[in-house]
Amino acid sequence: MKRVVSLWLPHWATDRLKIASRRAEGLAVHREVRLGKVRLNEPRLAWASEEARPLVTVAAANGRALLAAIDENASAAGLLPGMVLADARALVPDLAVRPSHPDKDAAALAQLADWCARFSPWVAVDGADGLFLDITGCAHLFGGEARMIEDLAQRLRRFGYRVRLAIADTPGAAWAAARFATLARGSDSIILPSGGTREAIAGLPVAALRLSQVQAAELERLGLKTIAELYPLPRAALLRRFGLEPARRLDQALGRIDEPINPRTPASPHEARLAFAEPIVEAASIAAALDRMLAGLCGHLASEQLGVRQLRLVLFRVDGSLQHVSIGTSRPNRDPHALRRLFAKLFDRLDPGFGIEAMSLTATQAEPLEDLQLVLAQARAQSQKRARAENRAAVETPLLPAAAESAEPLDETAIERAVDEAALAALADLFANGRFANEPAPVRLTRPAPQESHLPERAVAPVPALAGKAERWTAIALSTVRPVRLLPRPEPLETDETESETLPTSFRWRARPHRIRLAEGPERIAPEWWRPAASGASVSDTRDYYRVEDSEGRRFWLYREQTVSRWYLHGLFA
Amino acid sequence: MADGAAVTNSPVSARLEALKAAVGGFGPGAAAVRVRLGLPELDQALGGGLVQGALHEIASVDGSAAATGFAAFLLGRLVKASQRPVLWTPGADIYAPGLARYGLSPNRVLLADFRRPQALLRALEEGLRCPGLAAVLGEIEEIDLTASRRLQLAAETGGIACLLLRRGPSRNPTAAVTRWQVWSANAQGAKPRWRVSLLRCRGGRTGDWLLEGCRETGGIAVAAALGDRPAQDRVAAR
Repeated sequence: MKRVVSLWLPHWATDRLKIASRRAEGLAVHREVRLGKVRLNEPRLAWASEEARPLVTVAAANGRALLAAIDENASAAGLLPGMVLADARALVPDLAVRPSHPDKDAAALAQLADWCARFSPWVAVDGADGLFLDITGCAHLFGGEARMIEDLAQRLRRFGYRVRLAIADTPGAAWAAARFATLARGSDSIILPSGGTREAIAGLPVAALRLSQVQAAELERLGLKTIAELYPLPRAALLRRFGLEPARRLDQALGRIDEPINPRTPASPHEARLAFAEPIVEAASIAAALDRMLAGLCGHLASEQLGVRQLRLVLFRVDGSLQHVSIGTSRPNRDPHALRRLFAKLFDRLDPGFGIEAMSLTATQAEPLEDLQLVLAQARAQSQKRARAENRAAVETPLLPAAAESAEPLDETAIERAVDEAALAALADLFANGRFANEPAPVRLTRPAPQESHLPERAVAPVPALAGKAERWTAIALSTVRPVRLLPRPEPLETDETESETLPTSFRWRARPHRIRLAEGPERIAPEWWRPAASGASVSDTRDYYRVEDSEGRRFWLYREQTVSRWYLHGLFA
Repeated sequence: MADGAAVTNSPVSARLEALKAAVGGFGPGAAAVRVRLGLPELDQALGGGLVQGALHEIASVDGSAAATGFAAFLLGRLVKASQRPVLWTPGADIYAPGLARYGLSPNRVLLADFRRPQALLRALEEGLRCPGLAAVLGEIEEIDLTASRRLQLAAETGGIACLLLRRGPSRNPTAAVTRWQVWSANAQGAKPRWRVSLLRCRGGRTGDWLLEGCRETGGIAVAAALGDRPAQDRVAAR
């Protein structure tokens, strides 16, 4: 049976403002104490009185200022959302007024939904002030539904939110109970028994069915005040008289039609979670917890013959915020040690704050991991322990049973090649994930691949090192004489005559004079007319390349642009 | 019973071999794998070839790319020995098609563009731990003794060669097992020449040679041991 939590934050917008200002105040006090301006035990009267003042947020509508959200104190003073601000001021003279920011409220609610993912991966935002959590099969992890919901309520109260929660079989029933049920004294939550939804919500008003105000008022006008009074009505009459909505909402609440909860982040079936009895702060503890989760997750993936392409680690901090890092691998992988190394580089980026109370590790992308690699993963784990001299033997050992069974034995060189490739993939992943040793950007492991171009600077392009399909160099492509270093862009030379048709006898490059002793050429390279010229005009001119050697034996690759007759240095020969 | 004896025997001998290998691992002992350069004069001076699991330092003296070519030649020999690729970092202005003339196939070159010296050293070390590589090459300006020791140790444990290519001779002492200096020399006919001197070689002797490129085969030969012998065209087998 499905079980759903509806979480209602009746004063969400104002609670959020209060928490933010309290946090800012706390920081300010902290700063002043540090600077020696105030002493810590000095009472902050302004703050205390500010807390007791009724707070409302205001939005403009039709040229009037209307109350958008009100806090507990304002509600106790008789204010209601939707009131005109002037009327509210008349009732409560010392009203604290703030502008309403629905978008900021929504963003903060989304963040809270992410935080709630520590209880269940299926969390959805419900309207402007509520959340749904699908806790089917999760509650036992937190000691049962009662303990779980009390834990959730307590944490939210500690953050400073007023909350009402309900657990029921359907989102509709949970929603109704969270907002309209009479709660036990001193409790913020109610649990509707599984299978008893019909009776449990019978006494609630019809507005609890998530109907619009107009529809609820219309039902009440006809004497249909509670949900129980809708039960005996013939369905056809209900539909004819009130339209589709009340019947649909009633069906949803009673579970006659399914109402799925769409989680904010798609839930992955490959996930490991860990909750701590005490919040942890030290990096070593986080690393140990990560090891445990990786071992669990990789074991689970192994049983499904899958490997990870993307992993996301989320830390749930005690202050209700999240920290997350992701890693990617160039090929499916489920070797806990290799994955662990990728995370190690990211640890200094994580800030545990006042402590971490739970962690989750999700394989956001998983792909089938081939059998050969499966065997190799074992082989590699063993070979790491042994000396490199015994590497070959270690690769063979775990293969023996498999080789005995299968008709054709695996090719040894193929295995060696696959081991090498796996090692290179691990290296590429290490370079590409996060900032490697404070390098500002991730570094790709590349291979210089030949390109279809005769322009020297376009003839090579870096491709990912493990892209198997990329072009390979052929003997023909390598037969022309080319320098070992090519300058990023050709550098103009100072020659005897700035515009000379013939090869100069000497030139200056990077402030050093060179006298040309030998020269060979020209090799004429025409521009690629089918391509638009690059920003540098030099691409659009035919070049005559010469290989020259100076008096001391240094060898250069010079060229002359045909039309303007300027000389450039493009490369260095060994 | 004979089977049982064989089974009990082999792990002991295997362990013994492993121990021998472990003891040999400290310094270029008898167990160190040596890669022949195919140039008898140089191999002789190196004591049988270039030690694979070690740090080698190549410095350019005259600001030319001659040292790059010589490094490519050494990498080419290492690749040929193990059939694995090499990591060249940062290698920003390396022109891959030009390396083939010195025996290094661009198909076997991997590049990683690390710009900061600290990151570069870390990357080299990680590369030395990667069993899929034949060698790593770092283009680096200055390195201190401690950092070079770390690289030497990593090279020894991984059995992978680490080459440092520098634009000028080093000021600091380093833990390199061999230290080379390379100059350009004037070409003889159409054959480019270089002066290579081995300034330091643990377990070998120093030397000074004139190398020349062979246009036809693309190989490299020793033109002369400087100062005494006449030119001999001994082309290294590719």
